[in-house]
Amino acid sequence: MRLGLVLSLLAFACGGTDPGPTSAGATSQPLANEPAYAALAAESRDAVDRSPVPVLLLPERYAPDAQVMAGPRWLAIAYSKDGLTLSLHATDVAVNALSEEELQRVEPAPHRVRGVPARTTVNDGIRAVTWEHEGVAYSLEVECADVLEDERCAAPTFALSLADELVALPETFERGARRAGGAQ
Amino acid sequence: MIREASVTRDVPHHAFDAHRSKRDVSRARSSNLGFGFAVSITLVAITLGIALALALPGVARAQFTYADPGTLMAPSGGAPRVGAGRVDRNVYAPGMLFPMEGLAWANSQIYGYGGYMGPGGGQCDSRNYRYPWYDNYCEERSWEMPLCPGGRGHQGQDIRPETCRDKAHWAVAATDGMITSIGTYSVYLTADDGTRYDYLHMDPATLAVSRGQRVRRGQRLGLVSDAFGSSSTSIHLHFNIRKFVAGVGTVYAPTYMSLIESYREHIGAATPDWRAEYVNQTFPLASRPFELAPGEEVEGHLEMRNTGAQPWRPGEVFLGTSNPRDATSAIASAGWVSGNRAATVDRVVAPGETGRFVFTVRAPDAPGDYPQFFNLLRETVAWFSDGGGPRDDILQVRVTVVAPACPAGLGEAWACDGPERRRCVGGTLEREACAMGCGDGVCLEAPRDDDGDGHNSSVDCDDARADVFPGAVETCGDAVDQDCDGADLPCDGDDGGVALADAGVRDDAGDATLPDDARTVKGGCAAGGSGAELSGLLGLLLLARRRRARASRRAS
Ligand SMILES: [Zn+2]
Repeated sequence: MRLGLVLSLLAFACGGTDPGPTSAGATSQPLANEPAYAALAAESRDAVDRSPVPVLLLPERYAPDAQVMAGPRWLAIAYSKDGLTLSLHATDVAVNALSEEELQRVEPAPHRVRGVPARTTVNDGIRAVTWEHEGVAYSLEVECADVLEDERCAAPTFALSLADELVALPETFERGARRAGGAQ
Repeated sequence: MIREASVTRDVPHHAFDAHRSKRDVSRARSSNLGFGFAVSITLVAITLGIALALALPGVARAQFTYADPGTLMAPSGGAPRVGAGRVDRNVYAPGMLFPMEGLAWANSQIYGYGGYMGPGGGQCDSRNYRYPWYDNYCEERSWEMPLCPGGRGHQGQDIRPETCRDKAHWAVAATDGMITSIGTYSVYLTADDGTRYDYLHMDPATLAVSRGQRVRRGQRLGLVSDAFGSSSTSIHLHFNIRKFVAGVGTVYAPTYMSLIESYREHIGAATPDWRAEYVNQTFPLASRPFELAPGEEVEGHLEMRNTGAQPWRPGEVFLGTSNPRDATSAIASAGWVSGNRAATVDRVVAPGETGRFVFTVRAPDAPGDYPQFFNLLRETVAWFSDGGGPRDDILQVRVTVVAPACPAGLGEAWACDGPERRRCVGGTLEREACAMGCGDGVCLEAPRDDDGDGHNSSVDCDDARADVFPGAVETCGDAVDQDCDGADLPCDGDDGGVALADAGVRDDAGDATLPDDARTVKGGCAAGGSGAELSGLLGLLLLARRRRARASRRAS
């Protein structure tokens, strides 16, 4: 567990993070050339292809044990090993539940990941970081078996850095832009 | 329905979590008040729990009650705190299945019996296993929750199963979907529409599903337990609805009303006494324009079907303002029962029949949008939204007040209109009364008498000189028109001081003619009475003859 933390922090500190495409115009490259994609099981790669939203993958080191799932309006990636559970969830279905008045009272997102504002929270020990990209809401959750002692869950640092580390698949972003009527 | 006491108590604002944080856990361990970090359930408590369970179902089904959303339990068994949480009656997961088999008790794990901020006892205390339910979304926690008052609080809802027996009660799929994550103490179920349902603290060893598996609504997922990774918690299901809320992002949405709605269905609750369904309304739907001029009134009605068990009677069942309830309406007219009661039902309406609420809306004076929600209530007994519905934010009349269009030809410049003046600025007609009349778009001012000679400026030909005013003594030859008749009086020594009225005009030949009103000659030589008039006339004739002679001399 500690090794994982050190690795991810190292990657972050050494500029190994991929902030992901903030524009859908990123140069596309074959998915197969992306290690985080190539290391996925075939079923997961199929789910990537079916994803209705732009895909962010867990970094390559998690890929062999990660499972990608896709639904009509969502993408989910799950990883659970050695007491660490990671869950990425993305959907483009938004509900208009708040009035303009209430929206104005909501505090602005206090963090940033991948170049955009982000929120963090804890749900019974499970760390979460959430952000939006072009109408898609992403949520990354980190759950630790050792709820009390595992530093990856004791502070938001790990979740925030992992969110920055997620690997964007430009091809799926272009797909999303086309679906949204974008000019790319 | 539960009528909550309006008493609120201050709750410490320090951050704490029902279940976690090293600080809290060590405190709980050392104080021995923790409810489940160590197995502290006594045999007596278990026995009580089982006995309670056997006795409860029938009673519980008949007596399901719940505190209002946003009403939180208080420390040490204090009075529930109305509005301390999030007051949100939205059903974020309409149609979902209640996520647990058997009866269930939604309440707080920290403020309940056995909770470290509770009134004492243990988690299996029978008082934790009875109605009313309590919301614990936004209960005090230290972490960010954008939808909570103050921006921090507890996510989702803690639900105790029917009894305090561990691993005895099944949690079930709230909807069709896929199991998208299984952690050490969490199971996530994602529906086709992207809504995620989170189940925390089920027993990991007896889970009935696996990651990536598609499940059907109602399918068993796992047994409710106290699993919490390497630690433990109280025996309960922590249930979240995870949604993308526009403008905020993915959040733990309020679950309470979705749970109430699904639980009613789940326990087969009897038909509520007070319930209605929308049938029709003559007012435009809120999505369509309903534009009125300021002060304009429109009568209409709303028809609702009685789908409850009780008849509606005039004077008992009203259409009241809602969302918020009981607020005085901006569109109330004089015909309303009161500022927050638009009308009572028009007749006795038996269950299954349709009743009508007739009322008049009055457009406020100021242009703008005036949405108004309504709901039915049995006065002093219950709002329909607390029973079978509709919700408080469904029935709406939305008036948009628009200023009347400006009359043709009227612009931003003032124009007289009788004793007032009008103009039109930005589509708004402005009127101004002119007390002294209006001229060329200007309100006239009251005449003044600056020189204090008793004649105001409307008649005084020199309002700066007190010796000049109509009827003043005229002095000849001083270039001053004292009596305001239009000219000074010329002097003529030959005429022996006979004064001629200034207003005489000459004809082309230089002859003077006398104006009708100039026949009275005043001055030092003048005398009153008919004798004076006669002498004046003689003087005039003499003067005319002399001027004619002078003129003929000049002409030659
Ligand atoms: Zn909880």
